[in-house]
Amino acid sequence: MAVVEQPVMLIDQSLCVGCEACTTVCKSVYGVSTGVFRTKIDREETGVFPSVKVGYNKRACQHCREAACVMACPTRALQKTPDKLTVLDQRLCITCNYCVANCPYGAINYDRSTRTMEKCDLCLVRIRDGLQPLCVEVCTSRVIEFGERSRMIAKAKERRKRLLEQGYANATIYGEEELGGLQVITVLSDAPQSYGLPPDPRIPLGLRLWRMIPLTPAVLVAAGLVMGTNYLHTRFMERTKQVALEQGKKNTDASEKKVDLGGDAS
Amino acid sequence: MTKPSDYSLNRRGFLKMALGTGIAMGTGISVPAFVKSGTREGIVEESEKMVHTYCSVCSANCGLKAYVDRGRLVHLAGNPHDFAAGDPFDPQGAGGRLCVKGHTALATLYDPDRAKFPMKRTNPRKGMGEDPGFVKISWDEAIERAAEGLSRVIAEYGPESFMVLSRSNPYSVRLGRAIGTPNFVAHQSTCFTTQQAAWRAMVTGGAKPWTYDIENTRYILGFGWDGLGKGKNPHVRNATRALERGARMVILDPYKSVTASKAHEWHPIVPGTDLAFCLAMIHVIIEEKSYDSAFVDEFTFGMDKLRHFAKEYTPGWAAEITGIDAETIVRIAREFASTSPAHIPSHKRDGAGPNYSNSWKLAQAQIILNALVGTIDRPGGTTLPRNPSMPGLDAVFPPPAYPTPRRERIDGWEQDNPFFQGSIQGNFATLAHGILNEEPYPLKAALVRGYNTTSFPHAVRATEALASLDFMVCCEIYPSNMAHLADVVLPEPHWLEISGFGARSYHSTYPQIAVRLPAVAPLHETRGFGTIVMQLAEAMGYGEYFRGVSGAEFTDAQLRAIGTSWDELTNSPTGIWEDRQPFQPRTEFNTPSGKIELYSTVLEEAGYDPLPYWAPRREQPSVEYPYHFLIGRPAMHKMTQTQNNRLIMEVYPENFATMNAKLGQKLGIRHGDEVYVESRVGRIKLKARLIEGIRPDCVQVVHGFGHWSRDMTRAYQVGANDGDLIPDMTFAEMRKLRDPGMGACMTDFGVKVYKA
Repeated sequence: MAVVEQPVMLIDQSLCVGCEACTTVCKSVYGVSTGVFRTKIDREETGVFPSVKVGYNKRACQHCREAACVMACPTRALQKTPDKLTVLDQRLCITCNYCVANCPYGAINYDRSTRTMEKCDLCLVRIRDGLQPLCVEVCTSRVIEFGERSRMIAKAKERRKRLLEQGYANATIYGEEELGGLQVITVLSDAPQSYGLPPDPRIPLGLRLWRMIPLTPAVLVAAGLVMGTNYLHTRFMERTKQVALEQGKKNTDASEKKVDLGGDAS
Repeated sequence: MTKPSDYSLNRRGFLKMALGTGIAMGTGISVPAFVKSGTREGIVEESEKMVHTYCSVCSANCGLKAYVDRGRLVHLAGNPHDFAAGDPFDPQGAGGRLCVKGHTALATLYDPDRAKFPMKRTNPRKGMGEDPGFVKISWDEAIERAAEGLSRVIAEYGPESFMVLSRSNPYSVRLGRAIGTPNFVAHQSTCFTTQQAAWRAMVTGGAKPWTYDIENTRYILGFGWDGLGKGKNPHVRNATRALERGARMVILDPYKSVTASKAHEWHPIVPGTDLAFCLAMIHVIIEEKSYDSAFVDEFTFGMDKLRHFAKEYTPGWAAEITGIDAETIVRIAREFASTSPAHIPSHKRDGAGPNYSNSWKLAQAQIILNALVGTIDRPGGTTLPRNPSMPGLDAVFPPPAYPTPRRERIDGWEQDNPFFQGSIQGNFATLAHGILNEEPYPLKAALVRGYNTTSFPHAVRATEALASLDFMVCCEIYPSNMAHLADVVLPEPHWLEISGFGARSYHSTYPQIAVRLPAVAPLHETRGFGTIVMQLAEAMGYGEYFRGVSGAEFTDAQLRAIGTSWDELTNSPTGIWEDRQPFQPRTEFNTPSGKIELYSTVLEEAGYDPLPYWAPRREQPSVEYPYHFLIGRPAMHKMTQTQNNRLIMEVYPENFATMNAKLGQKLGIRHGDEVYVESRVGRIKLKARLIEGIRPDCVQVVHGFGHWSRDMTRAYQVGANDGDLIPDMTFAEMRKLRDPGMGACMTDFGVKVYKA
């Protein structure tokens, strides 16, 4: 299989049934910790009975061309590849979680147990070998595709046209223009809000300003702060623990005495 | 495919790893991520070994490829040569997929809670929450003990005091027949017998067909049908392809199921009134003569009587009952008749499943409607099975004569009912009554396989009944609730550890079978069910019935009968054997008239209504129990079998009392509050989940939860069991319903809900 240039993932969210096959396979193959996800299905319900809409959205990195997480990252651990994918270099990551706070899609997760960040990299190792991302291969409803950008967008337009013909007047394509164009193109049968997607995502001004700070000092400051905070936090927690232990011991002694008294009384 | 894996380290990588690990150990922090970098993680195709097998989570039997690396199963993927998962009419839509339950089956295989060796109980007290005090025993002791315990009961109370509580299996059936019991009890009355009775009488003379060619359907009409939400691989592929191709989908369901949320129209119909809607559709289609007259004239019987019958069921009449206005009913009837092919698919526990006392009539009405538009065994409809015909165990290894059972069955399954004579099916709704009242005789011993106590209507009472047995042998892969009631637990291997083959039961438009080879060597001290039964038979003195029987020879004989062999199948590069034939629509059906009987002479002869006359459900919500009860079945869970699977429980961790936000507001219940849901037989405690996509007069609970076996550490006491609310029945009550399908009426009762 040939390696795809400028790869894009196309998800026909209008046909996603929210079964989580993608979620569980991703977790199982990559051994992602419990409670942490690289991809996850969100169920979004809008409207009031009986005019209710339910949308399923595959929440994962959209690989924004103008990526908030990359701008936020103080150590350049998050970078764009020449293929415009957003990838994380764990060696540089100080797990400051600034990317988590800035991702408009809630697609980056901190794994406390391994102290690493988890995010979808479109199965970079697989696609560099000419294979498909795992979720493309396992999607039971076969609504995830992977291929060259213009071909995927053409397919998305075709699907939107069909949805419009079927009466879905708000059918739309998400990701063609948003944040400079996403590397994940999504077909929706309704407005983005019905799927829990931000209709008009923007990079906050604060983040742009932060980006203008010369980088090296930022790394030092951030690293220093993190380590300092960590040190203080640990010391504080130790002390609190000590106090709590002593307190607990006292309480136990007291309650034991109470039980004894109760026994005497009866 | 089986390229050796690329895990070799170069010198630099080794140093990096050693240094990283050393620093990590020295400083007490976790192993840093860069140690892991540079691996080929995620390229499962480079695993050392790929093994062909098929999935046994449900009966769709999807072919799969198991990737094994360094002795460990790392990934399960669909087999692209398996057309059960692909479109037989469209080579582009080839298979190669599984559902979420199939993909996550490896977490069941490696579940540390599995039953790992034979065990006996040391605590004579049995019951819900009672610790059996299991101790490990050897297989020799286990078989001896099991045989002795069962034989003792049979000697004291007679052969009918012994029951096989299992799905049909040639080995356990032979043992049961050899003993002379009539009691082969299985779960089907909670599953599909209402539909089976209708199909058998009107179309097939046998089973209900399970193949829906929905990808070619242009108009899909569903009554509680949730093909997309239950997530079965063939059905999801079917229905999403149809939608992609522009089919229109209309779903009637009191709950906004996944399928309803993907449909063009959702009508939250009054629960248990779907029959009225269908009758009005029949009325409209016949009045307007919009049916497929070519199909009806040539392939159906009884149109004259149907025409007369349908006169009184006007859309106005149905509107009153269903809560859906007459114009909508007329419009849907017209669309259904004018868009070809149109079809009403119905799988197991949807509207026509055994939910209400009138569900079997709904099944009848749906067959009529599908016949009126000509989509029975036609493209775009339900097609009858084209399974390969293979000899059974008795044909390959003829047994000595069986004794004739002396008594009728304990669950009243066959009495007065011509449809299920001799069938290895049964009635979970009446079993507890039979056992506890010794009616019509004492039943004191059981060989149980793979069933759990939470699957029964009035599960608390069923547990009481099963706990009252003098002796129970339980074959299981888990120390389940049921295993906790057993005297001897015999652990079975997981299906990923064994070999065999499976024929298509879903989507069999031509004969096809998939091979099963062991993905991994057995992890525990387990034995296969066939072996267990044969060893039990030997120890109980029924060895002559299994003289010369060999599982391997049986398999090979079956395969030779269809023109292949075990050798050929195991060496197949695709793992699939098939006899690809073009689809030939049937022109004759297995009924007395040889046609699809709209007016069923079989039902008439057996004393049932030959046409689906309107009848309301058994129990309407009352003042005391004012809300309809609904059961949900999510894509991730397979009934009661997956609540200990770590991957599944992460994405679907518990069940809730789901109700409309308005109902919550009315009752002062907030999202997340603990509530009791109560019926006339019991109550369960759950967290409330308030949504908009459900009728405000309904409460829905998802099935599968409420395990009380402490050995199921992940499932233990998570959520609650909907079965605790479902009333069970006496034989008399069951017969009074006059249901040829003997449905268990799984949701035919009212509930109340209040804050805990």
